[in-house]
Amino acid sequence: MLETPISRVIVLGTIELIYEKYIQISKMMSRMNYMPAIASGEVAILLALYAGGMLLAVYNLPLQGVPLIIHLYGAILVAILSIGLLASAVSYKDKGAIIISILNVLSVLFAAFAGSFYFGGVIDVNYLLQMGMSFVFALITASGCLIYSISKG
Amino acid sequence: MSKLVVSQSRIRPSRLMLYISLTETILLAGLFYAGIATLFYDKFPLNAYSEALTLSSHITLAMLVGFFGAAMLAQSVREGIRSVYLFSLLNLLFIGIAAAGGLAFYGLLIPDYAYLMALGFFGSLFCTSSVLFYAI
Repeated sequence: MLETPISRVIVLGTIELIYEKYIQISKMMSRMNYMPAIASGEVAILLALYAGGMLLAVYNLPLQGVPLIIHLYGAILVAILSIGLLASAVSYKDKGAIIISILNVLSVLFAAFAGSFYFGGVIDVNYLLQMGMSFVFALITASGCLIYSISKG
Repeated sequence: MSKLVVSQSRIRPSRLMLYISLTETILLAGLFYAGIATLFYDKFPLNAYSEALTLSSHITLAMLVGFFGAAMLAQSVREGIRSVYLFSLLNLLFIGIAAAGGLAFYGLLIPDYAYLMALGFFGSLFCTSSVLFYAI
């Protein structure tokens, strides 16, 4: 005869399973000086930034309001996180990770400059094309940092 | 246990997978360029030759992206690496969402479908570049 009731056994087992998953994920996320955690955060914020920017572009909205705030704040957070990626790659001293994160920082910088030129008053659609292409390159390198640091860290 | 995990993480996709995913990433970048150019320079219904050329290059690149996505899925089934298989499957799913959105936008000219196309592009680019950097 079991002393503890069966429902309590099930609850404890579930908690232990969740705890084990948590330990696994936190080990995976802290591989190269926490590079996967920073990179996944950057990809998530890039999604929000892209959603806000495309809301402005597709629906032809004026440059104000909630979508613009999402776009600008997302850009600032992505810039901070990309420099954090470069910092952890440099302190881990892995050559491939340093190259990918430098490319990431450069593309984020280029996108920020192109976007600032457009937003600051030079109304030329070519700047938006440059911003979009460097967004593509930033997304490629950010997900590259994520996968590279998970598979080689 | 830990030794097993290390030996599993060193299994790499083949060189063919690297080339397919690299081509797919470049095609997706060109697709995005053509799509943004269509968004900024074209007015539906199309009248000028240059407008039609932009839209046609967007559609051609989209068909090539769908073809290479299917090739990537087939190659990942052949190689049998689980995470690459999942990424390729998700990639083809996102490409399907984007293609359906694009075709619906072309027929109905409702901007909601264009927004759906844009979000599908994001997921597809993330999955493709993940496979690319997994294969490096």
